Amino acid sequence: MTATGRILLVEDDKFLRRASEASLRQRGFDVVTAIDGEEGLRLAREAPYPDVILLDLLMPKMSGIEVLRALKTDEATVKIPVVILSNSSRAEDKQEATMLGAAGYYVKANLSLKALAAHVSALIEEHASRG
Amino acid sequence: MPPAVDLERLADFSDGTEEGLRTLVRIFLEDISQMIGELRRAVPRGDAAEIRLLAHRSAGSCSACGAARLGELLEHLEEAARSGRLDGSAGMMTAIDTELDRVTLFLTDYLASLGKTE
Repeated sequence: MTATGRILLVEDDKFLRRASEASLRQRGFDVVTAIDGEEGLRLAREAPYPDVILLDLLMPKMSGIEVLRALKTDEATVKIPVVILSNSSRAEDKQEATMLGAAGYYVKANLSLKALAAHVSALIEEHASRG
Repeated sequence: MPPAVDLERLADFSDGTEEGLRTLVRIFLEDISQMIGELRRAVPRGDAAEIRLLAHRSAGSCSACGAARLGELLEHLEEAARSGRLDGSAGMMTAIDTELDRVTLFLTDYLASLGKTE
């Protein structure tokens, strides 16, 4: 399967960033990466805008929650689906991300790169069909 | 002793293709060796914050890829750094190095066995 779409991956964990990037590129996605929240927010606000943002929660400089809040209060980025990648399986963390507008929440210890890529594809299709 | 890596978990984490699995194993081996190398240098310095961060990240990578025993050893070191009890950290590091060798050998053999099925 070859997919299309621009993904912004904001993740400070080098291994997960490299593994996710390689998996998404192999499926045909255009992937841009950031290693902290500040860089992630800057790249999210630059054209061409990403179709989907994959966002870690615990990061240096600016947390994923702070980035998510900023994205969802900015007219330019409010419609971009954001999927959270987190070490935390706490229901409160998932609930907070969902309330702020996250389109998905994955706990890293149970992550499947196959499922993540399928979710990203579905979000891009859904976004495109809404125009 | 259980296998160094749970191949079922590794397959679950992967993107479901053989090429993806090869890439994943290569990235894991490169990164885990590098992170544990950094940890090996941090332990004699007794830098608890750095040890905690490196051990936490390494344990997360191990957990994602099914290297459960190596992940457990790293979590013990992370916990020791968190509680400020680093007096046994040199011994923990030796156990981590031994298990890293076992994981590396296991995955290298596994990659070779994938090649033979092509």
